[in-house]
Amino acid sequence: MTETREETYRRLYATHFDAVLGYALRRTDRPEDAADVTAETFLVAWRRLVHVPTGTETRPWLYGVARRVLANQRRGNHRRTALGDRLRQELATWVPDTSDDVVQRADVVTAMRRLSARDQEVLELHLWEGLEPREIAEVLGLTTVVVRPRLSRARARLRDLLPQDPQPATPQLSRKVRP
Amino acid sequence: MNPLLTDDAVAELPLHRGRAELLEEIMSAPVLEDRSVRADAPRRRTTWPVPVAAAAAVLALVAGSPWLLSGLGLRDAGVASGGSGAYRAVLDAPGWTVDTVVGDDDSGELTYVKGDRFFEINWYPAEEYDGYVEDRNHITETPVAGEPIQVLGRGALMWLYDGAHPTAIRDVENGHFLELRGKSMSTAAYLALLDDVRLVDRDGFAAAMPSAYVDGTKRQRAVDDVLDGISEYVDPLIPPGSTRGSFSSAEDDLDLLGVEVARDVACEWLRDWDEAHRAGDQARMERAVAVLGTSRDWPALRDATGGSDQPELIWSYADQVAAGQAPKHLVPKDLGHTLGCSG
Repeated sequence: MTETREETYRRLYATHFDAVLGYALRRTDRPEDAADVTAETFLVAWRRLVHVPTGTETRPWLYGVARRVLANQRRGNHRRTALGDRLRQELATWVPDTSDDVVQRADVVTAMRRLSARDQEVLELHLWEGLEPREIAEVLGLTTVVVRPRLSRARARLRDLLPQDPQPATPQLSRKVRP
Repeated sequence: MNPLLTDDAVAELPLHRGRAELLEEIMSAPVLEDRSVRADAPRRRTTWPVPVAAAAAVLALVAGSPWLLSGLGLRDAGVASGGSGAYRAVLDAPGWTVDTVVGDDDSGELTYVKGDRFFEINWYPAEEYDGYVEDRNHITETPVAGEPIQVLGRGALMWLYDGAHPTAIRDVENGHFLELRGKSMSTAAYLALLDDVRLVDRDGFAAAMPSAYVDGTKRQRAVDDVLDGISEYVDPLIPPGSTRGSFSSAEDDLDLLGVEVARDVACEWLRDWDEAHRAGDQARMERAVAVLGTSRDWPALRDATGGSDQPELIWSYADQVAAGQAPKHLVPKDLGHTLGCSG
């Protein structure tokens, strides 16, 4: 039996909600901004459902939308909707000020901030979202042959910036891997 | 900065109600994407199927044209639309309709659809030409130089994505270059379609867009129309104590532009009511209530065709202040959150 549009969307939303919200939270200053990005991203997905790729390509597509929404929000062009009001309130209440359950060590985050915005972005997608070059290329609208060397260079630059300590200096090793 | 929570930690946050509510809100939003675009669509119908959130992300082709307020009257800012060289392109082929347009004078993307086929026209600044050509030379495992072809009487290079989807980068002209990409079509069909592409300047581009599209050349007139429509019911247009100096919009969908400008007028009066409420100024509150009470008649809100939920929100605020209730979110910060009021 063919899945209805509503069923397809509910499945997409259930599968990717945490990932999109996590993506937004990791790139915004305030929980309510993350709620806005999440709401806008899923609204785009709802309206353009026939264009959303299936399988493993879905999440990079959603990240790509969230990236554009976020860029727009940062430019100040963001037009807030009434959507997600309760989510905004709940997030403002429940997102902790600090947490041990983070994607990266603080020293790695500090070092990453010294990199160029381009290097930061490709590293964040790799280390925070766990994307491979092919998926990063999808998010950024580039080809894999461009992303692969860019990621490689960015990782090398990051390693150079990290203090030499007994702990594993490779950022990826400090990442809490999600399934 | 928010903590860099893992997705697993995000999943543990107690957001069940907010998450479920958002899902239902989104699924009750109208779906526009499957509608076709007709060049002769009626003016007030939003048949141009750029989704609301995407439209919010669309950059204006030129900066929004502001209205300047002089005293309590309005004066046209007189922003010239200006001209530009012909470096954009549009497709004139039977059955192909505009799907999305995103961009500004510098770079942009225009997508056409016909059934399951896509044709995309991009324009980029000349300084990015070498980078794009180099990138396209590497879209295959073994780097391959583009095949020389002619596009619009000028040299171009063509490659195939995944061995099947053609793309061509045209030589620089007027400080920009074009990339034209086809999806789900043979190379022969793609090359034939290139014959139906024509070069246009900014005005020509705007003229080729669906009627609900508002670019810089039409935007000022559209803002004027919206304010004129509201002025039929609201005089003065803004509260006497308001410091607002202009109205503008970067929206390029006529309906969304109208709602945004009307929203900004409503924001002024909601703020005025809030200040009066705090000061206990009954007469001033009543004046704001009377103005907001006419908002159901404001043409830009009344005739909006469902691309935005803001008309309903404005009217619900109007009802609340009419009932003497301070709306739950009627503080400047939260008006920004819910309605998008600036400041």
